[in-house]
Amino acid sequence: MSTLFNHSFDTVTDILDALEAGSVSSVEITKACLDAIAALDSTLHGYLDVNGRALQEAQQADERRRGGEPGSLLGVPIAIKDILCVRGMRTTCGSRMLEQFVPPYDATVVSRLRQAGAVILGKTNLDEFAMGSSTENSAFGPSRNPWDPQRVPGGSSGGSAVVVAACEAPAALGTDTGGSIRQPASLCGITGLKPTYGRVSRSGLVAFASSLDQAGPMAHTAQDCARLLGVMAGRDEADSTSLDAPVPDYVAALKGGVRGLRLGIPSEFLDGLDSAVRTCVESAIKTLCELGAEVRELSLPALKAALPAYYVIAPAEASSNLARYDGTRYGLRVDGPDVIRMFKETRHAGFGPEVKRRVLIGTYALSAGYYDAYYVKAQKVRTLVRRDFDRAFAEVDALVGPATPQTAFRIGEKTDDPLSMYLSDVYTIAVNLAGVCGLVVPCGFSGGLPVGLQFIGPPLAEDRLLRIGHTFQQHTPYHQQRPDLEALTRWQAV
Amino acid sequence: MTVDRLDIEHVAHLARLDLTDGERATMGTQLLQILDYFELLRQFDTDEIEATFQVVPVFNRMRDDVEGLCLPHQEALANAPQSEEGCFRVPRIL
Repeated sequence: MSTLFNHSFDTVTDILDALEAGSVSSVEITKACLDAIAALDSTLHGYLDVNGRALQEAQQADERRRGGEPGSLLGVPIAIKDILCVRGMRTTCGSRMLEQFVPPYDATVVSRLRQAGAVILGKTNLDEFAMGSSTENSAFGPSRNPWDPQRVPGGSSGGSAVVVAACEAPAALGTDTGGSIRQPASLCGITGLKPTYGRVSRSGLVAFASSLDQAGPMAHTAQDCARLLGVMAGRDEADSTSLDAPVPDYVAALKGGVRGLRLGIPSEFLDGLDSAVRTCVESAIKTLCELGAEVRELSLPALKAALPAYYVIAPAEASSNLARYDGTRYGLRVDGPDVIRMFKETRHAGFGPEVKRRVLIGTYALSAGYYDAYYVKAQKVRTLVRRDFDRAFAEVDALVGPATPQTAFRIGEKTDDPLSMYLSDVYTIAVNLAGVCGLVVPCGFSGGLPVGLQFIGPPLAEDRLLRIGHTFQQHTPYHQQRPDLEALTRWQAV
Repeated sequence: MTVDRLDIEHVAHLARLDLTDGERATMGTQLLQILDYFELLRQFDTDEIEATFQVVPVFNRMRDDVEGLCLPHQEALANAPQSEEGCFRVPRIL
């Protein structure tokens, strides 16, 4: 089987070392990924499309390397969540609405990856327009969790988490509006970073909730995430909310350990937590203590209101953003006798149930008579959430806790109950409301399923979170575990 | 405020969204449950609190008024469901 299956190296860092040493070529690595995709993806469905030009791009990367050109990701294949525009490749957002949409430009993060020499492997599956926590809302069918294919990989960046966990790509880009990088990273046993709002350009990221959306890296290790973030981050003239702050050398910042670092556990995060998940999280926190971190429990009372506030704000922004899908300029059109009929029938046929639900919630929350009661109220509660984080970060350097209340659930288990699905993001959502950063790293297993540990930091403290994650990974084996890929090639749905 | 009924037809019209009878029934019930869940927000006193619409300060930024590269006409229309004479074609409006 392929190089990646042998686990001789499947991280970005190991691949870069081997490429630099000349012991392997980008073409060989890319071929190995394509072989893994051929062997596994009919079962896992992590990809919606594979880049037909991937090997050519790899060949170009090899030529650039031979020519002595620099490039911090030169020759590294990377998968892209199918909500980020890649010029010339279909960008569906997991929706019938955009099934045939081919963007005329690259998202800024994609063009930055290309400039750094990355090879684009393909586009990964997601919940429609990133609305969901399981990929079951994809119009093209769910992805499966490589640790147990009867279970969901989480979402909405579930496809990206799957392809990294199953070694169908050494790294992937995801996006996170309420936990969509961190929750699937946790459920699939990989590392995922939601950067500070504005750290990474949103240009070319199809808008879901513009004040919350942020793209970030998903990989096996914090070190790999540091490499990707260094390429992705920074001011972009095409996104007026992108921050002008200098981009530190995130890889250099990994060194230094956690001695003397003050970590806080939000007591609100221990409510409703599955006991096996709690055991893993507590044991991970103990490890951090042994490494010299000082841990204390503290309270952020407004966290309890974060989930309902989010489910007002995100659908409100979504209902406005998704108004553009009306069958006029791009995407699906269903003809009607007049323009309004065309709009209504196009949107009826093009959107799936969860998108319709959120468009309706958002429209209601923004409609005359309800705007103050729901939308403004939620934005005020959002201020309370921010203040709680500000207060916490005056006392501690970062927060630590679970990423999700339970491990991966079964496909179909929550699809009839939207509220219970929403609750799977209960520990991740507040981070987006406050615009701060969050990192998830694998911290153990419960019943053979991965458990994730979440770190939350103040604005622009990605370097600190990555250092904590890296230190943890230097002393624990969980990020090195891989699912039984050989068994997956023989797996059949019952 | 507790919501015991919701004019889903009106909301769907505002959203320019057709719903089947089945969708109206299921989503009507689900939306009421979700709105009910939003009542949790009332437990938090926000009388003196400013709303946060954006977490970063956002300013309009004007670029210099000089001609730059933009998307060629043909590419901009490439994804259009129907186009004619360089325009997006839609059913008659008036």
